[in-house]
Amino acid sequence: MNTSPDPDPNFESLLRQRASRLAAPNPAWREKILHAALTSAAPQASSHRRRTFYLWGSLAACWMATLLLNWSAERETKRFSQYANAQAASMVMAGWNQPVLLAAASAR
Amino acid sequence: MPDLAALYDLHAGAVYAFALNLLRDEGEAKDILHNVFVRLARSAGSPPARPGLLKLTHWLVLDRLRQQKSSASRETRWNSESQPLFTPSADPDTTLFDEALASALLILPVEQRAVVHLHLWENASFDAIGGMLGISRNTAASRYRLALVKLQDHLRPLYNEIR
Repeated sequence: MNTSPDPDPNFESLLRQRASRLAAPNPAWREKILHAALTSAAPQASSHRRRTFYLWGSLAACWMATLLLNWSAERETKRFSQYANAQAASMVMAGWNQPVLLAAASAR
Repeated sequence: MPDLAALYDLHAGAVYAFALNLLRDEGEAKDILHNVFVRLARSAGSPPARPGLLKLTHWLVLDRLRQQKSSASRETRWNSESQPLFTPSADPDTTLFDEALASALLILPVEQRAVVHLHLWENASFDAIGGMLGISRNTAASRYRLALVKLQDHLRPLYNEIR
């Protein structure tokens, strides 16, 4: 339960009147502070651009590597399949019967 | 990047006065003002409104206070090198009350002083203060009431004269 008493409105109003006389920053600081803020923001922006470049560069490199691996795997599969077909043809010519060749093909 | 010069003209006074009230050191309040605008310049999104800047100011002030290892020496500094919180007035009575108020604010814990400053001099509602200081609306209202009673007790002789 809140037991603190309500403040005196006249006293509160007297304090509120002080708002316009609160100390202000020295006008000479303005340019220095703004210059310092802008100077500190420049390397930050450059670093942000660099980070973005590295991020997109890494993603592109990953994508290229995936494409290369897929292409390589497909090429190997095709080569093996050509080799297996040639092997099967030579076996047929050597007198192997069809059921044995079918079993060999399903095993591949 | 936000238009820093326009933001400075709009909010620097509020940020500085809030930091000065909490830290009572012109150099440290200037550092806080500097840090607020450096962070603002580095922020990529849209610039925060006044409550966002005061929230950042409060956070930086608390961080600065945490860094102060020796609270005893800090208290001594406050007493010996207290900075004027209000600009001097031509009326000696006003100046006297301002000085008494600035000293009376020092008896309040920083959390209460922050609430008093934001409610009295930034016209912030207790909801908004809760958002800025990371406390509930009720806590903000309760801290405000307690702080005002303490201030009134402390300033009673002067206040009775003025009234």
